Amino acid sequence: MEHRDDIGSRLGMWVFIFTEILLFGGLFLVYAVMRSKYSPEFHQAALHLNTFIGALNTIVLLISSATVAMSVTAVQKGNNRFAVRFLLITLICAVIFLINKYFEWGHKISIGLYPGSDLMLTLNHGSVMFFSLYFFMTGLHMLHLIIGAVLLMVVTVRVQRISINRDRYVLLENSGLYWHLVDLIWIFLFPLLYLIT
Amino acid sequence: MDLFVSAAISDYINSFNFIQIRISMLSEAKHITSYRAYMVVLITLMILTAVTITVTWIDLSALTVLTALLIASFKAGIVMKYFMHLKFESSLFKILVIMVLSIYVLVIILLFFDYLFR
Amino acid sequence: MMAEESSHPERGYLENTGKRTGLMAWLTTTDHKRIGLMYLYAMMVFFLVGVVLGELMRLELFYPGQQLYGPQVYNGIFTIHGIIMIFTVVIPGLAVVYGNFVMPILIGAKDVAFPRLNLLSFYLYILGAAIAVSSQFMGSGPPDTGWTFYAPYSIQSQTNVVAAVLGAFVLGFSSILTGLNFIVTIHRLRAPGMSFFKMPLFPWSIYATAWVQVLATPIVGITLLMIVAERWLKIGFFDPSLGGDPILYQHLFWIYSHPAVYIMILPAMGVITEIIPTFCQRRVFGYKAIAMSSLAIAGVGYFVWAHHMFTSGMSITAQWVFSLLTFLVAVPSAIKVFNWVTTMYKGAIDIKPPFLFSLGFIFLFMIGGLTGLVQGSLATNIHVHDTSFVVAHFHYIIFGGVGFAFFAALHYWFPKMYGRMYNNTMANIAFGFLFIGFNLLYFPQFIIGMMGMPRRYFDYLPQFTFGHQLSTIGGWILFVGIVIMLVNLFNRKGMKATSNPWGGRTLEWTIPSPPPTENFDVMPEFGKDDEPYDYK
Repeated sequence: MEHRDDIGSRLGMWVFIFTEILLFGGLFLVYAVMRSKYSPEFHQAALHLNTFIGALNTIVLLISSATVAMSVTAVQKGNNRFAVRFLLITLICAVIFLINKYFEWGHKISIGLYPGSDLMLTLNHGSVMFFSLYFFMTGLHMLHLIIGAVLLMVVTVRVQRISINRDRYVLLENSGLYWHLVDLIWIFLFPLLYLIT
Repeated sequence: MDLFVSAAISDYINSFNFIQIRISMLSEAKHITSYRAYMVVLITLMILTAVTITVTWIDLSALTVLTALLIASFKAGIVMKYFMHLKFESSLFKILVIMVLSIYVLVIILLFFDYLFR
Repeated sequence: MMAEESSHPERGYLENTGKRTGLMAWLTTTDHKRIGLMYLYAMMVFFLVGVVLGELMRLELFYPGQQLYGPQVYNGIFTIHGIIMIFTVVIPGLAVVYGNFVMPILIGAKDVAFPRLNLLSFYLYILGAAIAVSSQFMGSGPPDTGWTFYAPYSIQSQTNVVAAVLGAFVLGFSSILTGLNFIVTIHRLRAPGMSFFKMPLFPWSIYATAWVQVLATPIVGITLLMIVAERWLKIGFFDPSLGGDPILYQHLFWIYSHPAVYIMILPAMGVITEIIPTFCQRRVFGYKAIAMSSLAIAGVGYFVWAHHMFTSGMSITAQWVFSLLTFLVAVPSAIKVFNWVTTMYKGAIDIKPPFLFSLGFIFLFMIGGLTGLVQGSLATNIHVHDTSFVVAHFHYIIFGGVGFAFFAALHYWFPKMYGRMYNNTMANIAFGFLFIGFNLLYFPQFIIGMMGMPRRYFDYLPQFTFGHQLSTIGGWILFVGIVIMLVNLFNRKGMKATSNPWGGRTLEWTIPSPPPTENFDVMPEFGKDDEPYDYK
């Protein structure tokens, strides 16, 4: 007899999400301290960020959250084909996000705006703190996004193969929860990094 | 607090007819959220994003930060409530989320007892 | 009051019944009991290494001036001593050994919620320890920053700081996963009828601990990553020349490391709460108070961290806020001590080794706790901060408290884990050496600390010599006690244990010693009127 506890499984995932919230929380603490210390410099430095790309990334992640949630509904209704399509849209959104990030970071690095660069050492303290936070926070976020995407790729294959189905789909739910976490973090990163001009 | 505030939103969304199929498997009744409901939440989130961007063009200094953070918290609240299904989980989950966020907020407040009074 | 029935002749979970044999059966196990034992063995090795490192320090400190080695080596020794003792011994501590072995049985479960995750936690523990220890042997030399890795020195030091820090990071991840596992286990796997308030108090303490593990550890995780990023990428959060603040590091570090001491002490207190009723044959006084005080300690413990930083340069407002909160957190601990002592009142006291160690715990923990108040008070803190007084205080709490509780638990549950008793007289003799040695080792450190002896100094002024010598000798006596204790326990000469050698009333004493792999043949059920400590 198989002993399954889906509620326990989801509880475990939520507890893990709490740990991730605290992990990023540490970075938001540093942000709060530095922002309060260097308010005008943060405003100035944020001008270097492209609000349009940031907003685009925000929309893309929001869509991806919706589609992964919809994939759960699809599986619950027994419609694995729809579920796979929703998951593929989610993964495409993830790729779009990463491509945007690649251009964003690439541009900054190419003009010498990265931690430890010669240019960075000439900037005022507030700007240095801003860019350090920008790279660290978006970098860590990106890492989690990639992890989430890999998880979802595994899940997509299993939905395709019907090993995830209307009778057992807690893996999909939990991977979805992780993905929503990635979205949640960005919901706060976007205004705090891009919209403080 | 956002979870309670979004009760208004939930009434709005409820009017779009959730499909309530109760499937009993392993003694667990499962609630299925409709595609439509998720679309409504998504559109709400996009509107709120647009609002945030517009609001930050208006410089109200400290109030701008606060407004942006409040809107972000609200967005996070509805992501948790609907996308992450928190609304339909047992109250234990909601209590734990509130507990964790409260601890975090208190830590920030205590930290600023140092930085604000140096 | 000894149980009459004899235990099963087989070796229970110690027997390999699956597909694998020998070592592989253990290395691939998901049985919480075996995982608990593997943690025990690994921890004992790390503990002994840590003790030897401590003895090496005490040897150098026997006289002022250089005896065996110089200051750089000394700094390296106290750093790795701290890293090993804190991150691989006391933080995992009673939680990973007894939380794993006994807690599921106490709540009537077959195993934890996520057995394979449990095994992963163990392997991360070994990996993290290996990475941390590797810092001793790599090119740039052992880290000399202290286990606290304070910026700016941890950024500037040319030693293997990154290896030590990454080791601690992996160990933290292990701790987080264990905490997660225990939270879900206690929520979902209690026996039918066992509500939260019918649960024994050791699982309560594990539950409170698990929340601290889960919520506090990530903060040090990210902080340690920041150290690496500062060293490798110059992100500058803690570097004033780039705009950062070194005190911010201290805040972030202690936001975890203070709750971490509650990770250490809560399971220890939980164990004492199990042992005392058994050897007094009385129900625990104030069950709800003890359960709630565990949660209160865990909760308030999140908000006192900056009492490690009173002299760092933070604002005076912050200083008195944290001093106030620090006094507050002492209250639930005191409640527990009152409850333990009251449980003993008019009880049928039987001073077997577990109880003796528990009495030792209460005495030593009280000294540690009271001396904590000296540091929590701002004025006296300035005088004793960074002196031996602090070293003595935390060793009384961590070693006298958590350590003696660990020994108590070892003597209490040893018959259950191995199906064998040990020699009570030898255990008591070991206790004698341990108790006398411990006090001789650490009490003088209070005195010389107040006289001005700084901590983490390899040399000192002549007036501190006598105190140091008493301390070093105490360390030798303590070491003898450790040896006697371990030989007595593990010499395999004890007689067979029954399922309930101590007359306990909780669920672990209803199953054979050692327990079968599935723990219970029949799922225990709790009725409406059943309670966890069912003494007459």
